[in-house]
Amino acid sequence: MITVYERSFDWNEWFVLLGLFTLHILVWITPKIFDLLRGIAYYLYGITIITFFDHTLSVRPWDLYDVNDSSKYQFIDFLTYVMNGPISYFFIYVYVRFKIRGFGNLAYLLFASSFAVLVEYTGVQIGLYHYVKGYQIVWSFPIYFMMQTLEIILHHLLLRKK
Amino acid sequence: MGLPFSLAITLILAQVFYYQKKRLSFLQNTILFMILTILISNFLTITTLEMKWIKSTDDPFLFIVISLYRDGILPILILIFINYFVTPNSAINKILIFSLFLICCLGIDSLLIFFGVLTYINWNLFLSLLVNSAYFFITLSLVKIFLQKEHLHDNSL
Repeated sequence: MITVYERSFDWNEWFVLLGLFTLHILVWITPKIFDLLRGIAYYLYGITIITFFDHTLSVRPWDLYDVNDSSKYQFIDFLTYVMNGPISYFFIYVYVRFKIRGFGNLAYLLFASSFAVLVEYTGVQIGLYHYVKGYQIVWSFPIYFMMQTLEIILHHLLLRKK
Repeated sequence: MGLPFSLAITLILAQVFYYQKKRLSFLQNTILFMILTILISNFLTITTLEMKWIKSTDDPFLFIVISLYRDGILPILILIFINYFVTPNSAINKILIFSLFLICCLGIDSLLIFFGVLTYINWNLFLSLLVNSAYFFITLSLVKIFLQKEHLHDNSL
């Protein structure tokens, strides 16, 4: 059964479109510190992870939450995934730019995961996510922490194999 | 039965990929893996949830098999064969590699149907083969771009 939360083009759509536009402009104008392929890898990581989780947790049989205006998979949902590309790119960008090492990794991950949960909470308030089917936002913190840790590991693996 | 079998296949394929001699670098393979995961996940979700050409299992444990298939088995399988395909080879070898790839895809899709993970409604194995071939050739096109850039970079040095 398809659940429709709303039919209007409002806050959640604008959030995605403006976020998409702004973040991609930022990727374009910020000084490049990675070569092209590594930059693409960090960009794709975010899209891959969000696609994995949304296509696993928000579809039957688990179906724990919905994204955007209905439980159907719409183009705006795909744009929401693409919005995560620049986010994962900048996660490693800041990591490299500020030369984060040792226990700094833990502090950075705690900060980044908390920030991600805050943004997700904003998403819930504006109707980007609908947690009415059992999912609770407290789960998002360890998931973000784990995925961001994996991205740092990927970054170090890519450096080692260079 | 389906879950342990799929886990075993995933682990075996991962090891094959790890130990095989690869033409592409770790970075190139990583990018291709992520692109394939995105493509396959989206296609599978659209065909099962929206078009309803394929029905996926309602069993929460068996659903893990779908996750393994679209995020592990199929992307790794494609990368294994692509890495062999792009090493210098005769045309006959390339045809054999591609044929073997299709046979593996057919086998895996048949197992998914046998274990009840997927049920074909307005779909069939031939269409699955076409789609898997499309993934293969999309990956091949990207590999050609990577290799061209590599060649240009080597020439500039």
